[in-house]
Amino acid sequence: MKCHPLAVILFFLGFMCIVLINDNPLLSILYLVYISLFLSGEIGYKKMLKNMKAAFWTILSIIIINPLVSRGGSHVLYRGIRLPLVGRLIITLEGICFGMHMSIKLMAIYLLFFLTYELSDQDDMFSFFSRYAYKLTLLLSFSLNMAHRLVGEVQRVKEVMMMRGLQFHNKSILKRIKAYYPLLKVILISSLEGSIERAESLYSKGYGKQQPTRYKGKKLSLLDGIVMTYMLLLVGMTLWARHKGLQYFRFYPHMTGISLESLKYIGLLGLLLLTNLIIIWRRQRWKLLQYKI
Amino acid sequence: MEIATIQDMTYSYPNSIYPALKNINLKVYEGDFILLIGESGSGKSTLAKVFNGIIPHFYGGTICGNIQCEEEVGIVFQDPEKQIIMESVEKEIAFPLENKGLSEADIKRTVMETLSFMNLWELKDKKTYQLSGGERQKVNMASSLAKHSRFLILDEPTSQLDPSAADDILNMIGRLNQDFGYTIILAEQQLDRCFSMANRIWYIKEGQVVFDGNKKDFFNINVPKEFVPLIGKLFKEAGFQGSIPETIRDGRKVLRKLYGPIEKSKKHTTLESKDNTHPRVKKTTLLTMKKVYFRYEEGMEALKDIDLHLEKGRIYGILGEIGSGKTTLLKVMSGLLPPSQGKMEKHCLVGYLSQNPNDYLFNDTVYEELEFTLKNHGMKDDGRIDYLLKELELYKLKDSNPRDLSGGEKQRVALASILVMDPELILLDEPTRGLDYILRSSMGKLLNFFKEQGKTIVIVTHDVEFLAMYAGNIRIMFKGEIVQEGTPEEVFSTGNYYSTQIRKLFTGVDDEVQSYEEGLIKLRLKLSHWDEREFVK
Repeated sequence: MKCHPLAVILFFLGFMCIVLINDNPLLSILYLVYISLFLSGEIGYKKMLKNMKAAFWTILSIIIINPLVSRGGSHVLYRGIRLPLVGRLIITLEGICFGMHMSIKLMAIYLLFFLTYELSDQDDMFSFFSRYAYKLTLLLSFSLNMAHRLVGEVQRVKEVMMMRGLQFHNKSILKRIKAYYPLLKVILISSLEGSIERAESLYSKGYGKQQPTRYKGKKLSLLDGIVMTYMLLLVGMTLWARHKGLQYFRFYPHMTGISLESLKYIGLLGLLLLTNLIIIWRRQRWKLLQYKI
Repeated sequence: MEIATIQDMTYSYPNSIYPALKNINLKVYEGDFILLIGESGSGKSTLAKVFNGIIPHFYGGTICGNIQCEEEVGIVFQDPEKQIIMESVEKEIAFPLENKGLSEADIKRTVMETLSFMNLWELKDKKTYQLSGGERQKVNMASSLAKHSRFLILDEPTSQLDPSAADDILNMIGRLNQDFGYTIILAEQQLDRCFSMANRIWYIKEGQVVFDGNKKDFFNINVPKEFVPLIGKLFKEAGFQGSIPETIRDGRKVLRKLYGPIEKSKKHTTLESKDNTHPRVKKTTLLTMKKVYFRYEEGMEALKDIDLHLEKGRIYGILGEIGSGKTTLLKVMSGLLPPSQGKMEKHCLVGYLSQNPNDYLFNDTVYEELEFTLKNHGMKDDGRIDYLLKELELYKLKDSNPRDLSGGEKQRVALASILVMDPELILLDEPTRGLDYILRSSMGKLLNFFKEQGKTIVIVTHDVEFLAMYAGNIRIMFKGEIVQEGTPEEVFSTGNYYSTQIRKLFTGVDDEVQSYEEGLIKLRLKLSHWDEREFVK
């Protein structure tokens, strides 16, 4: 499913905000489930799990590191030896829960990036932005190009470096990280050099010389309208709930409970997101709906 | 009618005290097909960029003189991948039109026309990253033509392509000029393919246009022999006085007259290999493959039933279409990919040079680049870096940044970074790609030098002429299988497609001729008995 750039931007920014300002772990789980289901509907759950796997180590490290460095909690689970710089090792229940909450939020944001990519058409985005901020679009175009090239080049350069004696499968993590340095340097230099040729091409194709028009630019559809309406509703509800204290949750020094009102609010929000998902999923299967929106 | 004029133009890049172009005076007439030739770094690309204003408007620098261009200029660069901006083919073609501010209806009509004109309908809905190099270059041309440029400049558009894709592009360029009257300036290294298409030649040397004239006059001036197409060079060197043939077809017409009625010539029987192992090198087997298969994860069978036997001190060549499994074979030989089935025995250290030398270069100096490989292999610099740099004529560039070097120098540094570990088997993937004739020739000399030192070299390439000159044993691959193996003489005398220009010229006329030198001797002999006036008749 591809949406209008405006709908995509609104969806991305809106969702990013509501995930970031949320303190309630139940809500974070709800957002993560929503994004996961939405994304798996777009790319299939196998591909989504593969994407999630890539973020696994980062998330695991947050879950491990946070309890080690945080000392705000009151329920001490382990009091250990004194370490240099860190001091006495104290692990609290609140520290573990906070780390897990942060991991859920991070995973939701991580998947949000993938979802945004799936919802957007790069050409539409390029044309859309070039009308309003052509220098920024130029910069984005170079960055996207670099990311795109990276995928193809990594394997090739890796093979070259292996033949020059670098060991990417060394048992020592430090040595493995060190081995990747030349690889990344080659790719970075090549990308920067490629950018000059790309800029030449853009110049010779008249980019930035005058206000461009759009060819087959996506027009706002009913689907875009639905996505934007839901998002505005979601942001509105979040701000209202925050004002009313329905999202309130505190981890330190000890975790607060979740009120009945908060649970009702979360249930309502869940229903709203579910209806949104149903419309999107059904649209993919029902030709009539596909035609209508 | 003149459509572009350059008068007394001199240009220097920013921060450079030496001009890249000096005292340029040129005129372009409507419908011209100008072939722009010269060594790498002579100023061809700079001159091409002057016509559409990239120089000086994009690069800056100092420019003096007059430049007038009546037509809008479309330009196509070397690397097809780096020119493409959009993701869909249709939108890529529409991109320059959007930038011109045309209405959607106008853009739509022009895009549809261009797709039909360039015969690109099949690619319309494809993503640009799914296209092959040749298809991408066609899309680039279409994108340039869509903005109604009837003046097209192509800066080595085929240098990164395989021969069949390159032929496609050149045929298309020829059609634009012949059938539709487009004005073309083509900077190109592979002269044999495009010389006959041009009506004018510009020869540029050290930033100056030293020759501007027609092809007939071009044969009479003193240019390095590398810049004369092979067929023309053969007839010129042989002392032929008539109109110098430019194509194989014209050359064969002359030969038919010289040789008279064709008799079925005796088949060449005593084929002598020029690559018998060097006398000082003892015969040793370095690598053997028995019934080797390789399958990629997705199930594609890239190699089938490969039997191979590589001996010390020889140069082997591997030819084949794109996707025939040549590069996979090199990777299996190098150990980067393990065979899926079959047996491979390797008794030596292997060095592998991939297609793009830039993949090797990231250190601050040439010396450090070689030192990096040594350190990774736990070896010490016992003077071998300096020795190798001297042998490869890189010693004076020892402290230069490898990224600042010319194409040929970069290739030599990449090669040195592999050779420094003293491999006995050297695997080269398309080593002549993008190199001009002079650099190709120096690469060939280098390979002969390594052969004399007892190294074994395997070259994967599309460059038939290069293999004919330097390889002693050639294999042709087709869909993962080796379909023919033999000496260059055996392989090139039995095929039509995989054959040298000289073989194509003499096939059926004089089957004994295998090399340029043999052709030259035979032609001189025939011409000495021939009355030139017969040609006039």
